[in-house]
Amino acid sequence: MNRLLPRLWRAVGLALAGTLAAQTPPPLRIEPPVLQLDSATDAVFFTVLANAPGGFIVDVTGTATATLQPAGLATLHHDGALARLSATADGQAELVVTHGGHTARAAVVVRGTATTPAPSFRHDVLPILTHAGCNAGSCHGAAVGKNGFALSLFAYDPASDHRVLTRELRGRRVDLAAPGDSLLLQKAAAVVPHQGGKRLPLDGDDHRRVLAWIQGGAVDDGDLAPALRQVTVHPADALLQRGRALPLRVLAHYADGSDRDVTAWTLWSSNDDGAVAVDAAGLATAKARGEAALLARFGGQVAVAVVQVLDDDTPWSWPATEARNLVDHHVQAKLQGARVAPAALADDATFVRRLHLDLLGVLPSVDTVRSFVAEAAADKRDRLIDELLRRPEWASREAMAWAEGLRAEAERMEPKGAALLTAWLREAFAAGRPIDAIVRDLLVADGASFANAPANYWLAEEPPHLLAEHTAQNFLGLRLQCAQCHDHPFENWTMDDYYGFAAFFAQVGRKRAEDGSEWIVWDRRSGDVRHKRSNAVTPPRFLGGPAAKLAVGQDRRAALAQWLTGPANPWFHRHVANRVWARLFGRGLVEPVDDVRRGNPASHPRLLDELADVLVQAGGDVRVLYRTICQSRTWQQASHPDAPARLFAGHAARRLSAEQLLDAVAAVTGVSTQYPGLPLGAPASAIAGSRLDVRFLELFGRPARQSACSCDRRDEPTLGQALHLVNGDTLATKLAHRDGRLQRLLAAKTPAPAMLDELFLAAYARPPRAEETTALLASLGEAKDDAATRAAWQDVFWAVLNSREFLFQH
Amino acid sequence: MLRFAFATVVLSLVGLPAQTAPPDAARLPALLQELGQLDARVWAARCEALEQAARAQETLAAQRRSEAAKLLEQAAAAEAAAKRCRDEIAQLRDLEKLLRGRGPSALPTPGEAPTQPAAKTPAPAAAMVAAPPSPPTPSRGPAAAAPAVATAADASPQLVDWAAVEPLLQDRCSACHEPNDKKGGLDVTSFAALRQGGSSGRTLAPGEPEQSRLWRMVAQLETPFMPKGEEPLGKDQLALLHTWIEQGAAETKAQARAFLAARHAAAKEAGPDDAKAGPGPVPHDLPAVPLQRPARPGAVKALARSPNAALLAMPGLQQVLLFDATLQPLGVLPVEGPAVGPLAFAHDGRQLVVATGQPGRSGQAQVFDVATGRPLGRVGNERDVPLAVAVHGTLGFVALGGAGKHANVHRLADGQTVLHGAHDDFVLALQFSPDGTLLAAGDRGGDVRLWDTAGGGLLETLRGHRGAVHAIAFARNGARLFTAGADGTVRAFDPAQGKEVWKQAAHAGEALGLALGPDGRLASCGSDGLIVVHDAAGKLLGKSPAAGEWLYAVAFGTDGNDVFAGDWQGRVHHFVLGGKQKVMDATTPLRGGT
Repeated sequence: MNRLLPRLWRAVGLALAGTLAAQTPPPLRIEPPVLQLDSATDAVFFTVLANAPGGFIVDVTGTATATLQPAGLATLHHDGALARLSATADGQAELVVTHGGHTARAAVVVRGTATTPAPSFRHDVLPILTHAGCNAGSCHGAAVGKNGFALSLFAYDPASDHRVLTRELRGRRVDLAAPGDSLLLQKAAAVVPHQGGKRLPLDGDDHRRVLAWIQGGAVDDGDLAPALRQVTVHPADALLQRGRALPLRVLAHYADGSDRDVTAWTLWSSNDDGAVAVDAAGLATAKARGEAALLARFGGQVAVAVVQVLDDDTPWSWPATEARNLVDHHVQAKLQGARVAPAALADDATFVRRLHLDLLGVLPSVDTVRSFVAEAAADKRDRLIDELLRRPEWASREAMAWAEGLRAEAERMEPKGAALLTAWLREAFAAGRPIDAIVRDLLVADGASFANAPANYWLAEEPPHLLAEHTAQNFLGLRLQCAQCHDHPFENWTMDDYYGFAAFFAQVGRKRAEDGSEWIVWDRRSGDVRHKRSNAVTPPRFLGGPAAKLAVGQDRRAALAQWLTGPANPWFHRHVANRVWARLFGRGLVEPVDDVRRGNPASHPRLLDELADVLVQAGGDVRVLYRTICQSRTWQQASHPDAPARLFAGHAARRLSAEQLLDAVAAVTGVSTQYPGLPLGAPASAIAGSRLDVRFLELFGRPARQSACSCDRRDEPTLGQALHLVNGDTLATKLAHRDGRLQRLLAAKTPAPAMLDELFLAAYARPPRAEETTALLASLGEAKDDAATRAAWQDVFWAVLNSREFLFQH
Repeated sequence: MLRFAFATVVLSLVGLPAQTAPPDAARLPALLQELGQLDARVWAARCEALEQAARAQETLAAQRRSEAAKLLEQAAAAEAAAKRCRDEIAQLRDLEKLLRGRGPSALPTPGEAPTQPAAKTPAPAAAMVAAPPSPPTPSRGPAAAAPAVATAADASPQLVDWAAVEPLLQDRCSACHEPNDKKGGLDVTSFAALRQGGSSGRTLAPGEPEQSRLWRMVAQLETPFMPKGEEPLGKDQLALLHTWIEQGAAETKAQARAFLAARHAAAKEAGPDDAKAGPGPVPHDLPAVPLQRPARPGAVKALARSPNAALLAMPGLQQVLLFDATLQPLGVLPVEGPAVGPLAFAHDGRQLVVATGQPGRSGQAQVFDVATGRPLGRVGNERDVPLAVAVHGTLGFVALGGAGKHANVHRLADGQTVLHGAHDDFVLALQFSPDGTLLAAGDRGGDVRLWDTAGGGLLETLRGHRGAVHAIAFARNGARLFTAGADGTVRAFDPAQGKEVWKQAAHAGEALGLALGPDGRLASCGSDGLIVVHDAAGKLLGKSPAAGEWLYAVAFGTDGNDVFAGDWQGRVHHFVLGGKQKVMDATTPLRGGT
C-alpha cells in the first residue's frame, strides 16, 4: 500500500502548507524505469511519459526520440506509439529519450542471450490459456468444467491442468504425433466447432507458442520454472486529462531475477469503468472526472494502477479551508487534487443531532439542543464529543456493532450467551478496554459460555475453516472464502494461506455442558486441518507470514491472538480504524469495510495508515479515534449530496438504522418501546442478539447475524417500511398514547407555536422556519373541539415523523 | 397514500423542505401533485429497475422456450427412430413369411449358409438375422467351425418364439402383470415390455433360464413363487418357458436360431480349454503400405490382442500397426480419417474395429477383416472420434461411443442403428458379451450399463465405480464382466444378476486398461505406471515396477505371464510376471517398413 503513496502527491500537484510538501514529478520519464532482457528472444515495451501543465501525464512515446547508448546490445523498434527493445548481446547500456527539450534515461540490462528458452508450460501456456479466458469461471474453469473439460480456475493448480491437458481421456487433447491436429489447438482456433468460439486464432503468436510447446513434448516444466514472485504495473499511478489514453505495461518478476513484459497476457479490470476504462491490451482511457483502481492480474498475482481523471487544465483555486487535524489534511489534499470544494461547516443544530445519532444512536433531547445552541464557548463541540463518548449509550452502540459481526444471536449461543457476550463487550468498551485486548480475550477464551462470556466467540462457527474465515473478516477485514477451493482470483491468497490460517482453529473443542444449553469451550491440544487439494495436514501459518513457531502443547489460539493484534500484522489496526470511520461516515475508507484487497484500495491510504497509528498511540482505545474524527472539520461538514462519496467533500446523508429510527420515534412521541427482557426506556441498541421479535427492526434491516459480512445489515428502502411508517401500529399507538409528548403538551394548554417549536427540536434538533410555522398553523385551522384539535396535531406529528429530514441522519 | 409514503422513504435527498402537511383526504391531490414534481427521479429509477427485471425475465423465458423446443425435437427424433425399428421388424417378419412360403429350402439353415461375406448378400438384413454370419475364409482358420454349428442347430428342432409363449403368459400372468396394474413393475403383455423387466431389474437372462428371475419364480426356485397364490405352472408350460429362455428369449424363430448359432460358435471358440479351440486368423498378404513415422510417437491409446491368435494391434498415425505376440511387426492397415482412436478385436478374432475421424468434428468405426486386412466397412456418424468401439463378428454388430454420451450399435451390413443407448456422460468403454445379446458400456460418470442388443432397452446398470469406467472385458463364457476405473479399482460383476462379485484396489491412480488372458487372468494398467495381474477370482498374481508414465492400454503376449502396456509417450513396456521389465519404442521394430 505504501508503494502507491507517491502517486497521490504527484496527483495533488499543489503543496499544502507545512507537512504536505509535494514532489514535483520529472518533466520526462521512461516506464518501466529499468529495462531488463533475459534471453535471446526477450523483448520489452517501454512508454515515454511527459509532464503536462496541470500535473497531467501525457504519453509522448510516438513523438519522442530514443537512442541506445552504446548501440548494439539491443535492437530498438520504434514504430509510432509503440516502442520496444529486443535482446541482441549481453551487456549494459542506457536508453536515452528526448522530447520537448527534456531528456530522460533508463538503464538497459541484457543477459542470457546465449539461450533461447523453449516455451514453458507454467510461464507461457497457462498464461495464454488464462488470458484467452479458457479457465474462467464461466468456461472450463468452472468446478465441473465445460463439456467434460475442466481446468483449474485461472490456473491455480498447474499440475492438475497439465494432467488434464495431456493425459486425461487417453491424451485426446494434445497429439504428440501430429501436434497441429491437437484438439486443444483445433478447438481454441474454432477450426472444429467450439462453444467458446475462437480463442487462439491459427495465425496468432499464442497459437504458435502452444503448438511449439506440444512439438517440444508437452512437458510440464514444474519445479524447473522459476517461481513468479511479483507483478508490477508501469506507471502505477497517473493523473490524466479527460479523454486521454495511457498505455500500461506489466512486468512479471521471477525468483531467478529475470523479468518479463507480460502485458499481452494480463487480465485487466477497473473498479470504476465510468471514470477510467481499460482494454484488453492495457490501454487506460480517461472517461470522466474521478478515480479508478485498475487491477492487473497475471499468473495468480495482482497489481494495481491508480488513475485519476480531471476535466481540463484551466486554473482552479482552492477556497481557504481550515484543516484541524490529520483527517482534514488528507481529505482536503485529495479534494484539491480532484478540484472539488468542500462543503461548509454544519451548523450547531445539525452537529448536535448528527453527533448524538452517530455516537449514542439516539436523538438529542430538546433541552440538550436548546442549551448547546445557546452556549457560546468556542470549544463546545469538542467538549460535547468527549461528554458523549463517556455515556453508556456509546458503549452500548459500539458493543452492538461488534456483536453483529461476532454473530451474537440466540440460535448459536443461546439467548443467555448472546446477552452475556453483548454485555461483556459493553462493559469492556465502557471501561475503555483497548480493542486489541478485547480481541485477544475473545480469541483465547475457554471455559463455560455462561460463566465466561467471551467463550461465546467460539460458538459463532464450528469447522476450523469457517472460524478462520469468521476471524479474518471480523478483525482483519479480509474475505478468505474464495481460497477454500481455489487460489483467490483477485488477491494473492492461495489455498496454502487459507489452510495454514485455518490450522490455528483446528484444536478448539466444544461440547454441551450438563444443563444442555451452556457450552464448554476448551483447547483440545490435538487436531489438524487437511489441505483440500493435497489432503495433507497443514501446519499453522500466519496470513502472508511465516509458519507459527509453536511449542508442543501450546494453545494455537494464543499464538494467533498475539500475531493478530501485534505490530507485525498490517491489517488489524487499519481495519479497526476503517470500521470506526465507516460508522461515522456511512462508508469506509476501504469500502466495503470487510473486503480489504489490492483491487479495492482505500480512498485515502495514507490517512488510514495514520488513523491506525493514532489507535496504536492511544493504546487501542477506540474512543480516541472517534474523538479525532468527530473533531475534524471533515466530519463536521454540512451535507453535500452531489460530491463523489469517495472524496468526503461533505456529509453524506443516510437513513437512520433500524434501531436508531425506533428509538427516535420513541423520543419524539415521548413513548418508549418496551423490549421483552429489558427495562422500559432501554434503547434498541441494548437488545442482545437478533431473535427478539420486533417487527419494526426486522423491517428496517436489522441484520439476522447469519454471517460476519457487513452486508448483513440492509439499508435499502422497501415498500414495507413505507407502509409501516404510514399505516403501521408503531406510530399510531405512540401518537395516541395518553402519556405521550402530544398529550402532555395539549394537557398543559401549550400554545400552538410553542408546541411546534418543541416538536421540531425533538425531531430535527432545530426550531421551525417561519414559512413552516405559517403553513402548519394554517393547516391546523380552527378546531371545533378538543378531539378535533388532537386529531389535527396527530397529523402534524405524523407528517414530521414521515419526513425525510427526520428519517435521515444528515 | 402509498405512493406518498414510498417516495418519502426512498428519496434520499436532503435539504428539500420536509413534507409537513397532514395527510387527510382533502389535501391528498395537492400532495400528489407536489410529489409528482419532487420524485420524478425516484420514479424513473424505480421504473428503470423494473424494466431491467422484466427484460431479464423475458430473456430467461426465451431461453427456456428454446430449451423446450430442443427437447421436443429430440423427442420427435426418438419417435422417428422407434418407428424405423418397428418398420424394420415388420419387414423382417414379411421377409420371413415370404421365405417360409417358398418352402424349407428357401430359409437357409445354419449349415447351408452361403460362404460369401455378409456385405455382399443380396438381402443382407435377412442373411444377418436368419442365418449365422458366415465365417470368413481363413488362412489358417477353423475350417471345421461351420459344420459344427450346423450340427448344433440341427439338434434343436423345436424353436420357441414369443408367439409360442405369449398365450401361456397371457393366461397365467397377465392378470397382475399388465400395463395398467404392472405388479412389481412388470408387464408381460408384450415382448418389448417383458424384455424391459420389472422394477427390480431384468426378468430374463437370455440363454440362461437358471439365472432368469422369471424362470426361478415360476419354477419355485426363488420366492415369491409365481403365479402368486395360484397353482404352479404345469410341466409342459414350464418346459416351454425353459426352452424359450434357453433359446435366447427371442421374439421370432429366426432370432432364436441366430442366438443358438452364435452361442454355439462362441462356446466352440471359448471352450473350456483354449488350446483345443481353433486358432484365430492372422493377417497374410497385407497390402504393402509404408509406415507413417511421426517426428515424435503419439500416445499408445489402445493395445488389443486377438482373443485366439498371436496378434497385437495398436493405433498409429492414420494406420493400425499389427504385431505378433512378441511385438515383432507384421504390417500396417491404412485407416481413413486423420485420427485413429481405440481399437478392438471381435470375440472370434476375425474382425478388428478401429475408431477414426476428425477430432471435434466427425467420427466412425471402421471394421477390418483380420485374415486379409481388407476393410469391411465403416459405420457411425458421430461428431467426434469415438472414445470406445467394439465389434461382434457373428452378429455383424459394431458399437461405438464417446463424447456424444451414447453407446450406439450399428449393423455393419447396412449401417442401420439397432441400439441407441443414452448415457449421462462420455462413454469410455464398450464390450459385447460373447453371445452378442448384451452390450456393456462404461461411462465417465461411473455407470456400466447393460444394453439389450435385440430389444434395444436398458437391462441393468452396474454401479460401484467412483469416477470414470475406463475399460471393460467379458469372460469368455459371458458369466463375468470385468471393469477398470478412475478409482483405481478392477471389479468383477455377474451380468446376469447385476451384482458386483469382487473388487481389487489395483492402482494408486486411475486404472485405465484391462485385458483378459489365458485361464481367465486379468492384466490392468494405470496412471501410476503399473501393470498388475490378477487371476479370475481377483487374487493378485504380480505387479510390475512403475513405468513413470501413464499406461493406457494393456495386452497379453505369448502367455499369461507375458504382458505389454502402452504409455502416453508412445512407448510399450514389456512385463514378464516374475521376470524383468523392458521398455521399447513401439515403432522401433517397424523401422524399415514392410
